[in-house]
Amino acid sequence: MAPPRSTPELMEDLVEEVLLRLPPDEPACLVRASLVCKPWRRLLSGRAFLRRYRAFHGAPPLVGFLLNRDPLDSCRFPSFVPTASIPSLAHPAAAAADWSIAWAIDCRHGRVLLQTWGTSERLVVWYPTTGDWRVLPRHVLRRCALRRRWLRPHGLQRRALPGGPRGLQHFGPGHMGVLVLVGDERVEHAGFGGYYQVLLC
Amino acid sequence: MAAPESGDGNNGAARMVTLISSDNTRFEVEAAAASLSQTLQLTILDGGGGGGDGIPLPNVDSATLSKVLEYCIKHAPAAANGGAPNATAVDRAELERFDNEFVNIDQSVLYSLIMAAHNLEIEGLQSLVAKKVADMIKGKSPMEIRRTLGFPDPTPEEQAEMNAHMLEYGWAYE
Repeated sequence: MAPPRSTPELMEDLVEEVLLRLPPDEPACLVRASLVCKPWRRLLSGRAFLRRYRAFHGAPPLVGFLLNRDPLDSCRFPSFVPTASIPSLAHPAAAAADWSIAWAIDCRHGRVLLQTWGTSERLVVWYPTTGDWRVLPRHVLRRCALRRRWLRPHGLQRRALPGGPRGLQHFGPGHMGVLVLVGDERVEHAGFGGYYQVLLC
Repeated sequence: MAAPESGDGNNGAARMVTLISSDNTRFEVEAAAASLSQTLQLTILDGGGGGGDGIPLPNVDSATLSKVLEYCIKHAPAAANGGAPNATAVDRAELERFDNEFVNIDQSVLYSLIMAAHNLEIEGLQSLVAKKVADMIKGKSPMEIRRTLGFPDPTPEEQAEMNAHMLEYGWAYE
């Protein structure tokens, strides 16, 4: 069997110079590049590359934000509003029919914490770039409830905020909270290298 | 194909150095231009490259070296001004136009250029070519990138892995 050829003609440190110059405001470029071959994937997911990429391009750009919709509307899942070249994010909603409402209550490290209501009232961690999600054990929800770290959408009031998540303090007509997604750590192995992350607005 | 002008000595003219490509072609070029290469700069500061000696560059062929020197000669005045604080917008626009046309070349030449820029440590040139290659792969799918850069066809295992990742990161392919 012939040994795997990775980057014909271009040495690895030159590949790094090239990949470093992929535009940060088009995250899909990095994801696609990470699928070209294993050496590229290793390179892109390495800490060293991440550090260089960050130093080269500066602060990560905003790729979009999540908008919690009024639960009385037909839309029962937070909308993703892209501000960069991410066409859409994979919702777990279709696969989770028993959540009549999902509400984003926190957002960090590339993950979104959702609270769901419906037949099952749970906390769910959603990985928006892949659509994966993980339902947290019930005792987590109970513990969060005890610490008042989650809010029911119907009862969402300003006065409820002191104990609530920071990101829900932005109110306006038509929406009740805005979460900002600045990228994703979940795709670290696939090429973002942790450059993008999820932040609260 | 030597550089057109050959300065003979230091009587008022700029100092010249001789570079010798892997295929033994001699290039005479101003020391200021050759000094864009960090590697050559050290040798030149030590007084090398003048007279009949010449600096051998066993990793760079004459076609590539002539292209590299074309870049260096064009960029030397701006570099000599220390980032050109007094450069006019016209000068900068001219350099930009030159750069754009300069990298509008065959891919194999691009590769030779980036290797040479890497070996000779010419940061500006390496950056310019790397940006050009990045632009070439920017909008492409993994398979298209592989084809563009001349990778061999993926093995069935690689193909399966790519397909699985594409499913997982569907949004990156819309």
